[in-house]
Amino acid sequence: MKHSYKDIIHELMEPYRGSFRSSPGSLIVDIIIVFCILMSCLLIPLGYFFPRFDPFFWKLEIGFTILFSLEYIIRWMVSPNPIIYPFTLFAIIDFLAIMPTLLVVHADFIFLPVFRGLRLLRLLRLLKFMRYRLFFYRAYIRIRNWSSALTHHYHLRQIRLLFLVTLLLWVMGSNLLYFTETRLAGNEGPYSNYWQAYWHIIIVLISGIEDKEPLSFLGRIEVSFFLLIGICFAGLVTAELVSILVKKMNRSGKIQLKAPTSQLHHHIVIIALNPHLFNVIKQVSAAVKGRNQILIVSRRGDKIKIANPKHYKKVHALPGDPLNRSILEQAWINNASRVIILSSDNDKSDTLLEKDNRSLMKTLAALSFNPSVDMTVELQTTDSLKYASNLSGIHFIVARLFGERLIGQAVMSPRVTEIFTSLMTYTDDSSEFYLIPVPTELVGKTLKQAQLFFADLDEEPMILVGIDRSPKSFQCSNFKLNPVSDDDGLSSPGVILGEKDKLILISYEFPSFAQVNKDDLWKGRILLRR
Amino acid sequence: MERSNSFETLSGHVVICNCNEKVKTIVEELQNSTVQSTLDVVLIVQDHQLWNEHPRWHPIVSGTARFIVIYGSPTDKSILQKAQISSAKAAIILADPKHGELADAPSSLTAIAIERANPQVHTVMELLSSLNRPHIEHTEVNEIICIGEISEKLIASSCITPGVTNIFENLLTTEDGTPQIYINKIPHKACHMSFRQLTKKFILNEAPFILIGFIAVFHSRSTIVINPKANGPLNKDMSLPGDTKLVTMGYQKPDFLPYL
Repeated sequence: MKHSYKDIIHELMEPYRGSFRSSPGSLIVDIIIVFCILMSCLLIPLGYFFPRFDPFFWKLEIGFTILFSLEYIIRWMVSPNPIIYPFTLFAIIDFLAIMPTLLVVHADFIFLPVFRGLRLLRLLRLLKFMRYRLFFYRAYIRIRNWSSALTHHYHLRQIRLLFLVTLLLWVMGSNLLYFTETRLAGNEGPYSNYWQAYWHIIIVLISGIEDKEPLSFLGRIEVSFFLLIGICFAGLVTAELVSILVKKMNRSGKIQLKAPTSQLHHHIVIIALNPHLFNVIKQVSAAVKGRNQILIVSRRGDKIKIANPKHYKKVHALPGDPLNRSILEQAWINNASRVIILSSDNDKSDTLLEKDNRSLMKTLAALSFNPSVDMTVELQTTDSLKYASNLSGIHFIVARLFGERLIGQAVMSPRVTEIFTSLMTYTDDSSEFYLIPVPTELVGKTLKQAQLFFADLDEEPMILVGIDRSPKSFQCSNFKLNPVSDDDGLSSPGVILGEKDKLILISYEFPSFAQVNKDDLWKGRILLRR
Repeated sequence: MERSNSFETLSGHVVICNCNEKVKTIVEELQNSTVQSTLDVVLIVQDHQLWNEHPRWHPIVSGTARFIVIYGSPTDKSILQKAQISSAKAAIILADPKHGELADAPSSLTAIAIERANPQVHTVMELLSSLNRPHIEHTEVNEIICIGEISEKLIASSCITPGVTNIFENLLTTEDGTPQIYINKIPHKACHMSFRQLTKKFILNEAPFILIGFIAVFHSRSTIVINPKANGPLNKDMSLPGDTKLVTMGYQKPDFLPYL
């Protein structure tokens, strides 16, 4: 699909989301705008503290205002609906960002210096950051998770406490020795100089070696006490460092554990373990190109061994029983984009039905935290499907069923398995099924016209194979592949495509022109590859 | 239930080696298909007791096709001759439950024995451990189906595109009113036309199938191309040679000629 210059500029002006819609140019524009907002706000205190540079700052301010005005005009020009654009929230914020300076300039012309007070209103342009809230929110979550992981893995809390206690003892000890020595031994001793006392006590505390001998008896008792504490301190620090190293060695070759305080968002939760785990992770990671964190919740979570840690950078494990509510709380299921429940092989003596019952209980537990999450559950028997089907909206997979049918098809159409494998595999060189809303230009067109339209799409090759008219929450519950006969409303090639329809496409990537609902994107309902 | 144990002349039939819980569905899929001609099935059972102990594995055959059970080892030449492997269309080698998780080795050896008895037969083998796939790919086995791999791929696909499993289920079912994927030789009239030209012709002539790809020989290897790109060696504008096979999605075996 060809993009007009308006589309390209619109995409450039949109905040960078790291998704297929955002180009590196968009990131550069964002960085420039954020830098200009920060600098222009910084000019206000700078003007206050360095009044002699005020004329220079004012020139800079005029420059920033021209830039923001240009930004405002460009956004207006490329907006989908230029008539209502000035009344949208972000347009009002953009206008508020340039309005104070424009007023001040105008006030200067009509000699009303009092209007210069309006300069403070320039701080309103901080509101422009609202446009980049997703970017900042993601950065905040990343920094928070990174710091909590660091605190957890390197025992930073204990070490912090240890250093805090030592600091207190240092200050207290130095003062105590100084007062003891000046009172009892006069000004001759090594502790009679206030700042020298600090130096001697720190040596005592850190090295556990007496640096200088106090002259008074009480002073010597006090130093002996601090010497003992110093030995303990050195021992504790060594023990903590050794414990970190031992822990690191024990965990080498194993999947990293989730820090208890780290908060996850839009992640994929995999509950339970079985031999499929690594290939599922490999497939999902390839599909989302490592954009989403993956969290494994299992009682054996701390024992999962991995061959190549590089491939598991965004994979964490949370050890614990997935039926324990506190574990599920720690897994942040309520914030998860997807939940996968594997058929656990923890207890080898379990029958297939028992395995399914465990999986179904885990499904109910996860559902109680997040009833709207897209969940895929692996089952072993078709018997379980009978009562599992009461849980609508959950995708139950009994692989054996697919396998049996595929064997049948392989006999009738040799090599068909390779085609199915290719359609099920997420790689850059294979096509998969995607569902996208009908593009605006195809609404009201027939399915045949849409197929012809896609046949000539060379930038992103794709084949239109069907139409989905399912409710939003139950995707693919009412769809038709290759609609040719006239037995229902979906089946005619002359069927008119509506706004609410979805197209089923075979494509290499999620089509870049697909109109993705921002709310769905924000809530992580859509997982994108690019 | 077993329709017949008689050994009349069989041709174009399917031989299933070993029995497990998949026999029922496979036989029913092959014999009750409404979109393809039904096939006679010969089942070679090694363990008589195992088969009799599991009546739930026994297929219900309602059409005209025959279902014959032979008792013996599928690697035994005489048993394979009895199953008339020389005239069979395909052989399915299922994992023998007697061997548990180590069934891949006997299955592979059975497949090799069948390929030696009739190299023309299309062998489809059920694999238990995906780790063994590369070893078996070097043998003459034509198609390897690993349920575990399917499970992994379906779980991942369903996670990325919720509901996509329904599409695969729809494509894999042979019931009437569900589409399937067909692979057929390109008609002479369409030789040297490009994928793009053929696609447009089929759409404009309202063909009851959708062209989704082709199989062509590239560097002396038969290569499957689904949704060809506009560039690259096997692209949508290359002229398709006479030995190309077309991959379509439709409700019945496609007849290309009326739509060219």
